[in-house]
Amino acid sequence: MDGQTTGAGQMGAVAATAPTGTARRWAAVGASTETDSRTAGRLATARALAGGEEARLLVVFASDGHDAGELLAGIHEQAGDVPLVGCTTAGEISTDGPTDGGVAVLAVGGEGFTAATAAAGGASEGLREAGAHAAACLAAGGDAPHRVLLLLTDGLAGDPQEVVRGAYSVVGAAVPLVGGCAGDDLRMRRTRQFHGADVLENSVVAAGLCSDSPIGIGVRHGWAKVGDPMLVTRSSSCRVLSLDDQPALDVYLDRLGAPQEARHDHEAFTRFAMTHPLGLSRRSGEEVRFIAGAGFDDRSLTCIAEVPQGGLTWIMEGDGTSVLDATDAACRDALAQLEGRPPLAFIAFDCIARRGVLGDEGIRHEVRRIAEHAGGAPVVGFYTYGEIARTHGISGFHNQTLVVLALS
Amino acid sequence: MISPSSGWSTQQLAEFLVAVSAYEDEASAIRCAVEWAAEAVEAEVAAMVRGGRLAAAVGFAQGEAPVADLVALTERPRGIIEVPGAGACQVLVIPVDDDPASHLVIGRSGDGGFDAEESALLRAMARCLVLTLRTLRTLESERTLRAVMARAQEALLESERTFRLLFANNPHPMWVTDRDTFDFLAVNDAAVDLYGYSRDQFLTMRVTDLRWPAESARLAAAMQRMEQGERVVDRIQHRLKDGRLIQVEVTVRSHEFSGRPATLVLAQDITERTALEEQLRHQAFHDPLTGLANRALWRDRAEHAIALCLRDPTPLAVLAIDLDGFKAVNDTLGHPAGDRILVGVSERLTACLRPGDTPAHLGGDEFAVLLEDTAAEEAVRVAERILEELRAPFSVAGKEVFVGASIGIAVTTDAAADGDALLRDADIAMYAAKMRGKGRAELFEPAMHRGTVRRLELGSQLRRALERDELLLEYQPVVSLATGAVETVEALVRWRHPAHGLVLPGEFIPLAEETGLIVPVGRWVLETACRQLCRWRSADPDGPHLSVAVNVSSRQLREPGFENTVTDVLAATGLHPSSLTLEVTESVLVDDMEAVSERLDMLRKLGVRIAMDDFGAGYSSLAYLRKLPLDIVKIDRMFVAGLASCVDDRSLTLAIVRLLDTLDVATVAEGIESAEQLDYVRALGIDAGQGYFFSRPLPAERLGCPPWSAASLGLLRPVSR
Repeated sequence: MDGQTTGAGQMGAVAATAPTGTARRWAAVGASTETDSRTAGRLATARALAGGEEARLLVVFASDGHDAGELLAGIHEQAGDVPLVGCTTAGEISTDGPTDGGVAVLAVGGEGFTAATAAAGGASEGLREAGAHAAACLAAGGDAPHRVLLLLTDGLAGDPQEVVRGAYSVVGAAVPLVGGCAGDDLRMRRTRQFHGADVLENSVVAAGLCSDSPIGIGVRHGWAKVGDPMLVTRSSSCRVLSLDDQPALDVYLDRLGAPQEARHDHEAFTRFAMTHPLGLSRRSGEEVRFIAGAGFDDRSLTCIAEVPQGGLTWIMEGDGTSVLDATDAACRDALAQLEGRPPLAFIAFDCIARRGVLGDEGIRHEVRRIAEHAGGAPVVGFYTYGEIARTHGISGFHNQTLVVLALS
Repeated sequence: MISPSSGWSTQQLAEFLVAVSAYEDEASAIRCAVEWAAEAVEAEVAAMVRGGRLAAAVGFAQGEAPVADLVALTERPRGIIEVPGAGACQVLVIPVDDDPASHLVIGRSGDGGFDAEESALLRAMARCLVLTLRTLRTLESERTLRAVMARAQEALLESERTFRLLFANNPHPMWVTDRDTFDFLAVNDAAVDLYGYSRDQFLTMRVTDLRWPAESARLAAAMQRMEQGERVVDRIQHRLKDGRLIQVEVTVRSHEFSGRPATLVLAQDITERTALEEQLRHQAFHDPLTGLANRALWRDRAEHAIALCLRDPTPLAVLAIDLDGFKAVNDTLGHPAGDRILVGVSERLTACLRPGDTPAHLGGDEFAVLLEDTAAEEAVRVAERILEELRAPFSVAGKEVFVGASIGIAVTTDAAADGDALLRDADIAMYAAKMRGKGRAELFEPAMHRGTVRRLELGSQLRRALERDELLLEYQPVVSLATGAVETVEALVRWRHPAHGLVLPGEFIPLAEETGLIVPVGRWVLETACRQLCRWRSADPDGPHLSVAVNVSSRQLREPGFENTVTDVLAATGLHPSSLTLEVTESVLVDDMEAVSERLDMLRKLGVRIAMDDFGAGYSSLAYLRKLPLDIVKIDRMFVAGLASCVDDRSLTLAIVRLLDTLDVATVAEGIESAEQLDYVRALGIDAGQGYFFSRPLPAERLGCPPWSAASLGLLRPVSR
């Protein structure tokens, strides 16, 4: 997706400052598409830090193509010891639009914000424990009236819901959880997490952010059920073997009238399936399961997260219109929680599957619409391998969803 | 087709069951159930309260779950709870039919509360959880059981390994035998080494083949005890292949060998240890010289016998034996000779007893005998047999030595309830025997005990008596039957005791001999008598040759410096030795005759005259009259008393007098109390007489001044024939 940027190394910066009458808070985003990692880091950070004094937290989203060590070194040259969390992506989002191979840095600062960070390694050995350990940083955040825990995790390390459960067990319902699973530009091999100057793998990093002013969160996916439900008659963890006692792959392909190439070719199947996920029935709607591959020999389906045997499932369908409608809805939901205050910044965690539905032009359009909702406040984000948003209930992990966090 | 509208809860339940059943421990399953329940109904908080305690909670910051509130909520099916970050939450409480009684508490923000479908789902989840927990418990108990069994199996293997190691390498012989046939089933190297049989030989043998004697009753008894679960330890004798006998201590345990009942035996060779123990025990309880029981063992046996006596009244007698004149042997012949006498005495003593009787050497010249099941009469017979045996001379260093003994006998009575008391009574009787003339046995009587007390008192007071001038002399004239003149005065010692009045020598001289006070007492008597003689001499310087006679005890006579004492006193008083007559009794002859004879000879050579006192009262023997250097023999009052009535006495006395006459020994008749007796005495040709007929013993001042004669004494009757 090179060439989608506004100009190599020429990404701009957008900053916003809170209105007077409250404690001073500011937020700014700097981005860079410089190919030299250290330079890119330095430039993006410099632009973000231009937003104000007393930076409290840096949030960094960078392409896996960067030399992460060099990148963080460049950032450190500018920011010194300002707390930092971040991760690699499947595409970065900044106010100017989506990029690939770039870096986007959000800086928040001012005495109205406080932040603390933590990292937990060895996530695959204990997802829940890693989530709990990382979430413990919130205890250092003081008793500000508005708090949020930002979680960035390695989605390839295992079921991210366990990370969310671990974090929830520490912070409880009192604090919303927001975040996403790091990406590696769809190579699906290895993702990295950033904490301070450290480049981590198989880890969970977290930032507890406390503010004087309200924080809003919007969650939407834009998919709809198609046809009658099917009973998962046989499944094993992420592999669905039979639906309604028929081979799962055949039921899936026949229901959708899938094109011939999707019935034989793996890549064609993945492209087709990206826009036709499965939905699991939940009390207030459906939980979406992205189908990652087909077993042409054993006629099975392989999903990103577990599809329990004995449950009901639906085929889900979405299109550009429904997905963009969901974007608007998510932004509006987030803004609605700011109690009438103007946003200082938007942070978007956007599913890589939605990008698949929208296409490259579609995502530029989407980011513009997000920026419009921000009303001039800076936007930062990335395309994720899974989204985290716990605002009510205790479930907080999503697939094929857009999560928008609005700071004010 | 399932209705989509009601599908979500069905699906949730299925997923819940799958999720919860994935855990292998109760705590995790409960935590999972709480989270899934909350997730299913999109609730913020959920908790499990079990038995009034919080088992799991979700939705509260770590460590901040309001335990009391949650527990309180379980009392009603619905309620409200304030949740930080979520506000007031509607609460649904689902009973969980588990032990302990539990409740699932679910809280969700918003006003709606839980509908019937949600409630049904949560109830179904609670039911699923209970089933899961029960399954887990069953699994857990099975796992525990398997682990226990695995550990037991491992322990068994370990124990077998340990056993094999201990058995094979044990330095003590060990074997396993069939419990019923006693056949050897296994033996270790130590058994092969000690017993001399090869392993193959052992395996053709039975354990009874080792036993010596080959009795099996004891073995059977041991087996019976062992079968009752006891570990049996026994000391027995085993015979080695080469015929030697060894003492072994066997420790026997019930054992299973190749599935059949068997006996595991560990045998320790305690032969040397036993011999050493036996030697030490013997040394501890036996007198090394005589081999007889010592005081400790004797007392132990006596206590034991008395205890038996109390249960089953049978008479029990104790003899206390004290040798007469043993000290003289030691003093004159030396301790080795004394030791040989003691050994000889113990041999003769033992020969007089039954095998079950216990003779003991208590120390010095004291012996004791415990006679079980023996009444007084039989005890007296035994004592007399012992006296008879001891009367025969011992041959020591080529010399014949006479050692008599005095025996006291005590038999069990209610009063003597312990061995010490019995021996004390026997001792008292023994002293009585000594006082009654030695060489005899006396049966204890309670009166003796009183006498003993007095004797002990007197003994302690005698020393003070010397210092306080409580002793005094009385004098009894000895009258020449030819002239009627008083030629000799016998000095007799008395003790004017401040409490008991006049105490006669028969009572306190033996005490003085025992305590050694006889030496100063004897010297005092000798000096006092000689000084008195000097005073009388100076009162009648021209009178006839008056002499004084002084009694000398055998103990005095044995005293090494006795002749020096005599010489000193004579020199101090200026008396001629012939003025002094030393009277000894026959009892001195019980001691070594030759030694006595030598001593008397020495004294006689000083010029002192020697008189044999109380002749005929004790060991009447004419033989020694020839051997001893005597000047005078005083015929005992018993003969004199019998002269008037007994023809035999007259004949015997006549024979003695004639013998003495031939030996040129003067004769004195003692105890003349009547004119008739005097007539007989005179008729027999006896030279002098003494007795109440002439004068009883009187203090010097009462006798007045010499010269005395029968006439002047006023008591002498005219000679009738």
